[in-house]
Amino acid sequence: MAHTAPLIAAAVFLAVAVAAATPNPAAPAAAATPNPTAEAVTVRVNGLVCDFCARSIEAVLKRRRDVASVHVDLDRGEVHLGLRPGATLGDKELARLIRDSGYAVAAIERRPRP
Amino acid sequence: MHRHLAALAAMLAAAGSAAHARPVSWPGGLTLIQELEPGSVSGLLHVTPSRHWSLGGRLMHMREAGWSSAGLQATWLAARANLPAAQANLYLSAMAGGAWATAPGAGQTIRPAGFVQAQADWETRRVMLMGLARLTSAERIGTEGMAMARAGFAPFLADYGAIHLWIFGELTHRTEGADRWQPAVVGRLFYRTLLLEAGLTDRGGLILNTQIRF
Repeated sequence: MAHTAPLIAAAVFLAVAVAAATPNPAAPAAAATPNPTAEAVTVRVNGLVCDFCARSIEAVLKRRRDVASVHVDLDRGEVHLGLRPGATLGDKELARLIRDSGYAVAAIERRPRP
Repeated sequence: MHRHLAALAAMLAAAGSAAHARPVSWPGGLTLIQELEPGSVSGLLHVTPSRHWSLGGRLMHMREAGWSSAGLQATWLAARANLPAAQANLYLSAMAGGAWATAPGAGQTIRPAGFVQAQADWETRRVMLMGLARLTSAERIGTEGMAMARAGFAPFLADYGAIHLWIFGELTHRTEGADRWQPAVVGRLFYRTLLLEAGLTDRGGLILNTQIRF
């Protein structure tokens, strides 16, 4: 009996984990209005402490076609993005992507790319 | 068949584990983890469907106790605190599968087996604290509890893409086996998505862990 208790706990946990993994039915945020000029975006991110954190954000953001470049600065706790002309990545969607990577956005700053 | 699975577990272990670090990756990410410790060797390949959880297959061999197991493992990131210069996590994991004795003369019957595990960590770029507790059991074969605590620091700060070095002091307690309290020193090299750890216990037991994300 002593041996079976952890097995039952493991089975219950697995069932709950799989059930909790149901995709979020919420619709994605509506696309922002395309910006005709290329932008540089600096995002201050909380929780950035290691290369795994950096790679997580890089991997998720690089999936977007309107993101030309991603640079993670662990020293400053910042993510620097280069957006292509016509990019539709708004602040709300950007914050969601970083949250989906596992981190929290503290501030977003945008300026035209030189 | 059982010998083949044990051999595969040993190969995974020899190839590299993490190494007690971030058992949930980015959405869509794959992670290979190998852990070699005096009492056990294991390999885990998991996929991360969302930032909240990962699911994968684990092969594990209890070296001293003389049994192996294979099964499905789920890990849930139950809580994460993202602070301006720190991160803290609570992970809950469980594996369910089958186990078989590997000692000479033991029967080859596969029994239900699994483990439950809780892991918590707090980390800045300079300091890390971690604790882990695991209860592993195989029906009619064996049950073992394990608790481990780690504290470490990075002697220098490296930015993303450079090689990071960490030094840890570790204390492991096992409820079974000849060496129940195992203090150890572990060094970690961390480069982008590759994490390697090597260490020694007070009795010379080898610790080799690898984690690769792709």
